[in-house]
Amino acid sequence: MNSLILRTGTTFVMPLLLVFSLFLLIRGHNLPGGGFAGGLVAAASLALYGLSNGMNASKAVLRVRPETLIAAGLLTAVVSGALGLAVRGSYLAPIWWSIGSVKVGTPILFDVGVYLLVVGVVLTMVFALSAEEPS
Amino acid sequence: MTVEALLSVAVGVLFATGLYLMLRRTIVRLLIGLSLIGNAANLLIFVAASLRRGVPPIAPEGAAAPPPEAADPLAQALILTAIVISFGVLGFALALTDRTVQATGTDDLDQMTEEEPEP
Amino acid sequence: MIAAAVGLCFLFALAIGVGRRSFARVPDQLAWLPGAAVLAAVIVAREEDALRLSWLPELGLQFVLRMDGLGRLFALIIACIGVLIQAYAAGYFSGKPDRERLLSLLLFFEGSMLGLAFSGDLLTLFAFWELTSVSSFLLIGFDSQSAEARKSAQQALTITAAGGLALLAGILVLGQIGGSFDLGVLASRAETIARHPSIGWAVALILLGCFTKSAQFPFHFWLPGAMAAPTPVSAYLHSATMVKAGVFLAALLTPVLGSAPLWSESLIGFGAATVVVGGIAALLQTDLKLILAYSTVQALGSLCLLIGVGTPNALHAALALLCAHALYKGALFTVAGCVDKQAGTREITRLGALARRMPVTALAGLLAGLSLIGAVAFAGFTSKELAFKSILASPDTRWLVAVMLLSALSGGGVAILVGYEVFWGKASGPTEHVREAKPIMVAAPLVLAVAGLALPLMAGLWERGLIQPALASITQGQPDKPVQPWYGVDLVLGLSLASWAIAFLVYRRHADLVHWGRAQRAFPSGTVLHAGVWTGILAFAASITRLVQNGRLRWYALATSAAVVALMVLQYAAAPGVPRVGGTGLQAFEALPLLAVMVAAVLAAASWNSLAAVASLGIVGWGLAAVYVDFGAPDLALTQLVVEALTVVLFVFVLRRLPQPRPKPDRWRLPHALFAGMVGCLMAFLAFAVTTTLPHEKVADWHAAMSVPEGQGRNVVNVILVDFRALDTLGEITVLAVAAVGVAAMYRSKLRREADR
Repeated sequence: MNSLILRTGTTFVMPLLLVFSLFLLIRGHNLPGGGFAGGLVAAASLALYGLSNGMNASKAVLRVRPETLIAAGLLTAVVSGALGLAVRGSYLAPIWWSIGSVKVGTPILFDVGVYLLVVGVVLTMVFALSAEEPS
Repeated sequence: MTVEALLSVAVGVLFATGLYLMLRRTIVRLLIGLSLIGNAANLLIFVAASLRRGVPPIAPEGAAAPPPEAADPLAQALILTAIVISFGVLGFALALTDRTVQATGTDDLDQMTEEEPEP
Repeated sequence: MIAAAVGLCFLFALAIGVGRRSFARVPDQLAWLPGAAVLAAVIVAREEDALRLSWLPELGLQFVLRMDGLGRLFALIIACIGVLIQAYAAGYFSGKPDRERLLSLLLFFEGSMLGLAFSGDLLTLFAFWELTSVSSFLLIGFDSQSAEARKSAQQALTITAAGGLALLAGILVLGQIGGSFDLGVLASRAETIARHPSIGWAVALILLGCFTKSAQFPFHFWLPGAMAAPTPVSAYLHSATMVKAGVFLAALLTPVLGSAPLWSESLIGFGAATVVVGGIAALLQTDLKLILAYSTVQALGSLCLLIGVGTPNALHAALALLCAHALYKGALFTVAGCVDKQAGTREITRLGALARRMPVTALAGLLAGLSLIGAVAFAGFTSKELAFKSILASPDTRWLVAVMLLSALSGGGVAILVGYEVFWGKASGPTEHVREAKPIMVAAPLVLAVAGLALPLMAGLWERGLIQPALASITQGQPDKPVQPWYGVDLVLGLSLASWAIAFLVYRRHADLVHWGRAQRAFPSGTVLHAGVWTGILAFAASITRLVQNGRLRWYALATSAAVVALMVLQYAAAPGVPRVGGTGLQAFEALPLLAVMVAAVLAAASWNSLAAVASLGIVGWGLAAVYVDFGAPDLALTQLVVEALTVVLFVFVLRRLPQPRPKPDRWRLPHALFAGMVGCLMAFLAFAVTTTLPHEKVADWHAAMSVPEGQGRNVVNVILVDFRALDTLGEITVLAVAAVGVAAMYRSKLRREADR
């Protein structure tokens, strides 16, 4: 898909979508959104960028390999559960701290793990199935 | 005509078309059928949890719980994971199809079976 | 200290297994120290140290390690022989990497066996019982390069594991009847348990477990096969300890099931048959280890028989025999191992006149042989006297004297063959090259054989310290006579003398017996039957697999959906009814996305253009997203929209490389369409039925109410995903990760193959 308009467009839209995906992730505990939706949007933005500029460009933006994101996401989720086991004696038991008026807790960390993993999974599939030779 | 009735018919149509496609010889049609059946199952779960128009299961700012007429959150959680899982399965199936067709040189499921070496 | 003894074994096993390199530097002379530490723990263990861990109290599941007299006797036998065998094994595999592997496995086995001896709960006992089966499998197959060892290991495992399943079923039945798995509780309810109408099942299943483990006829054949294991293993597991587990369990359950129907009849019947089969087969062998293996089968039969008789005298005799047999058979096996290693053969026809070459081994063999034949003042004499006397004491059991005589003469024959013929018989070849075994190796048989003489000489200690406490834990009664080195001149001594005379005759005609035995090929051996059953099961499984896994993907989809339809129809037939009509009124704009969904689905099914079908799929997804938004599910709509876009992208990637699909002749098209239509109608009916009949009280209400106070979040869907049901989500994202890794692997291997080309 070699279109100048698309290429220029996605170059602008991609960062916006990435920011939007983080926004979805952060507000997801209280409003529509969350790790799954946010991760999908982030992956879609990079896939779109890859479609117009080539997957290698998309890989360059991502910097790390998507498999690394899968591992990081799964690890984050598992660690957030282990914190519950360590502090409250039950795996995945939630722990909450208040920082000012903002509440932070292990479920949020878990959602971050989901986000990272979904980005990694989708991009792994997109990059693999696009079958473009890595540069 | 009620919403439940029309949605039930849609569930039936999605299942019927999905299953018909899954029984075809061409492998791509099987994958499209798989997708349709996934959607059908999600819609079935959604219909099974009673339908409430317009009110998402989100507590308003300051409130202790969502309004009583809000939709069923459990079914939504189920469907949300199901949508993403279906996507993962479909991606895997597409990769498998791609590799299989390249290896066997045919997209005909019946021929693939015949070419399989005897164990 | 009870739990410590068990734990130490597993700890040492793990440490030696992990630190193989470091442990290899420990000299052979010190390799038995872990075993000695375990023995010390067993010796100082007191009955008060019981360990009770509650696991699932609602189901009565608990983990109990405790020690009673019987458990202590058994544990002492296990730990004492364990030390000697570990020393012997270190010498046997000196300097080889196998040494560490064997010691580690032996300690693992010892831990399982001690756990079995100390179990105070039937389910705890079962867990350790299975562990002993597993360790036995690993030890029989120790020489994993040998096909015969692998086959024997598999055979032993299938027999003992099948028995283990029966035992588990029996334990569950007994637990249902008795209302507990705790041995103490069960014993206190023995009378009600024995009268329960279903107790026969429990007895039969538990005894099946005992009989397979203790190599009773007709399951005895796995034990001679187990001789593929290294000799230290045969001496320890397959003679002194593991094969006694079945007998031990029978003794342990005597207070609970002793008066139940079938119990003593089965034990006596199968025990007697085993004595006859094992006793005769022992005399037909020429391989030292096989002679001893069948002789062990015969001894196990005697033990079963005595426990089946069940009088205080018989149980007393069984306990004496348990000690005596562990000592003399352990000694004879280790002697056979020394001979095998030094002379290079176990064939009795090629052995003889080794006494001068291996004097210490010969002495051990002679002493152990004297104990086995029942020479006065040896442990074997005491146990034989007690066994005969206990059987003669009751008119019901007198007929068993014939069986006991056969057992005595078979034991006598074996004793002469292994303890005398090998060392003092005629030499059949040059013996100059044979040297005495290393001191660490002859220590084990010598200590065991001398103990066989020492025990009756310290009869008071034997009786009061070991046998009496064990007897007290399985029966209220007292035996007529304690263990003694001499019982005076009476009928039993006469019977002993007669058995010795016949044993001597048997020994002189041994070659003829072997010749006769080889001629009896017509009788199918258990090994052949087992192999037949085994191949039969595999063939059956293969035919089922061919039927169900026929490789036709379409067939699977059809079978799966047909099964679902059948289940639904059955369910409906059980409670038929017509859903009431009602629900939410339809608004015109809502009908549009749904109609679009249906039209798009039909188009996708009818279209031969793949891209058009994928586009229709996208329309279906977006239509559903509209429905989700309309009915209060913005999270779903968002997810569905993005997933739909990504799905189209993935499809397009793959479709580029696939051939354009062409209609293929398919005579099933119409039947499939009809079937799919039927399933669709059924699903529509199901959907309609559930929307109008489900109750209003829902699990979801709890989640909605708890979301803010417990989950600290206002979006209930998200709180469910990351908090209430986070474990499910964790499982889900793991599946996603696996799928992605699978995709990556499929393309990675492709790249590698192309690079190779």
